[in-house]
Amino acid sequence: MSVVNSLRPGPGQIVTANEIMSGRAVWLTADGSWSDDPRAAAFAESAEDAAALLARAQADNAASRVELVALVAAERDTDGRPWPVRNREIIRALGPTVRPDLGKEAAAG
Amino acid sequence: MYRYDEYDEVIVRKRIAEFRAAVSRRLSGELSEEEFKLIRQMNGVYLQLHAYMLRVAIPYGSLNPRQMRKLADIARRFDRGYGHFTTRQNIQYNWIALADMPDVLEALAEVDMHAIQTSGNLIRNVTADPYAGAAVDEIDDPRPYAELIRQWSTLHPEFSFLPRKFKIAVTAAPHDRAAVRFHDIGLILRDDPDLGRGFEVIVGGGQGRTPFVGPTIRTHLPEAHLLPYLEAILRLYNEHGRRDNAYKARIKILVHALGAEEFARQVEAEFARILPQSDDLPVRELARIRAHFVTPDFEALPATDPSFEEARRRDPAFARWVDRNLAPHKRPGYAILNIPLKPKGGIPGDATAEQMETVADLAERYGHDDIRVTHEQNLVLPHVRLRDLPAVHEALVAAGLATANLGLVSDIIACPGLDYCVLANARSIPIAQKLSERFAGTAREAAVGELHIKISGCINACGHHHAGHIGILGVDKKGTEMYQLTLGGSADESAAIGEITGRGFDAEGIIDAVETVIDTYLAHRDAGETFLATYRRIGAGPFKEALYGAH
Repeated sequence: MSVVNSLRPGPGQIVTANEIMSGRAVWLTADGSWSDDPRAAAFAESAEDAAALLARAQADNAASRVELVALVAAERDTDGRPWPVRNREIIRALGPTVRPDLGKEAAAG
Repeated sequence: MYRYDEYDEVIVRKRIAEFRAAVSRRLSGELSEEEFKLIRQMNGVYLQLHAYMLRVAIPYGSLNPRQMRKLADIARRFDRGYGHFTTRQNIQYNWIALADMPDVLEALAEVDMHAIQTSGNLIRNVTADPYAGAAVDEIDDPRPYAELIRQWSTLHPEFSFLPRKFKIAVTAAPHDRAAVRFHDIGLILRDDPDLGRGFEVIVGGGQGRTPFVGPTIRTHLPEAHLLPYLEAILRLYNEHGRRDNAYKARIKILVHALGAEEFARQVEAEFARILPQSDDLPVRELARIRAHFVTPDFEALPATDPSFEEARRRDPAFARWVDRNLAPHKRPGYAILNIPLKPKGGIPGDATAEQMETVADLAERYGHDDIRVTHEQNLVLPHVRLRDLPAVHEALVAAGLATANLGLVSDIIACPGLDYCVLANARSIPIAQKLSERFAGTAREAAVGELHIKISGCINACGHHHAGHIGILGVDKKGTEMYQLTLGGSADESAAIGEITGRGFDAEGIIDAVETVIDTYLAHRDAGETFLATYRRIGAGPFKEALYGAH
């Protein structure tokens, strides 16, 4: 897993939060739903797009669907899908690096 | 062991009902995130990187087997099969769903446990010497005092909204196993030949971004005056502690700003004012509480046991485990048994539900129903007969709990770090694991002897790095995890804050840096000299030279 090390601002941003019931990390998709996978997230390349995504997420926060809403730096992976830039966000995407058996990849089978 | 009375029971049940209602109001949208955050934190519930975390109070680190089994049951039913014992003698669960939280609290209440005051700006769980009631060097069992403070501080109306959190530790032994000089208040019980029994009172110790070894503000406080004196300290702090800056809000900053002498003068003035108004309730209450901490029904035994000695001769693994993990007990024929939660390459402080059950079984069968959690993230069976140790060892081996490394290089304290924690800047656990992989069980580790490595993933210092003989602090440097090294810290009666060696190291480099520090120690030590003693004798110079080259 690539928990290494870049704080490049990233060419874009994605919106993340924690789902209210389980607390699990989730990402806002283009259709307004929340996914367990940042690669499914809506990728904002402009400040306006980012603000629009954030506003949608905050409405879900007000409606008690998610907590700790945040815009985070992201880049595109080799398949063009979003992936967070900072270590902290990569660990949120993958689960604890010391318990790969409990991570999201493991849960997805 | 202390049992709840009907008042405690009512308070806890009411709190759970309130929390259940709050959870459903949050889920229905009646409560906002901010409103609910205050409520959940008052019940020990945090939201971490991957899930909710529940911190359960283990008052003064003392558990009975029924409670330990319940902790295991919760780990299995509501979490992912394990729990994490912390540097505050508590346990944390990492994966509990919010909707399950009230049921978990109900389960805890069945065994007189709760999560009240494990978070928030108030007096937190009171900690104590994990060898309490068993240690050779204690003058008395410190737990009744810790329990008295727990009862006094629980839902205390005046002290429920302090400037910041507040931690109290109690010991009754000259060898400090409770890190009392790193607490907001540290108490050491002593018998003075002239003044009688009393506490040395230490205030304003702490770690975090501004570490202090706490100064003593009273060398002898009669035990009957304990609560009014604590009240005076807390009142002064509540009034004058800073509320404008969370980083300057702990009592250590106030004590430092006023100076320990002036702080003591103001405490004494308030204490003198309130003492005449206080009745002898604490003294009577202490007697009632003491009755709960009955001395186990110890057998009269000889100091040695033939079957124990025979096992030591026959089985080198048993002998190593005995030499490392046992501490002397106040009664002949008994031992204090440490159970390090530090298997080679493992996660410090983690225990599976099965391991918790094993410890519960052993405590029941061989340990007078008594289990302790240490601030070094290990477990203790405080009262085990020497003759039972071979059987206990066998069971611990089967459970993966027989690592013979207490106090050695691989007995590392580490905070959850960036693998779990929202506050962390870098990971701590993988560093502990790599060090453990390199050193655990090696002849080199045995040759080094006593050496405490402590690792924090951010400056809040939950991993107590300031107090490590070798301390490691994780930082984020432009997106890369980097680790600062400190040397010479100590958490016991020789309390000291470690000094930073110089520039930090990356995640690989820090492992080699620790090895370099250990090599330097081995090259310089006199016969029988510990790492800390060598460091204090020769200073940081030779270590810096070995790490960074001569300048």
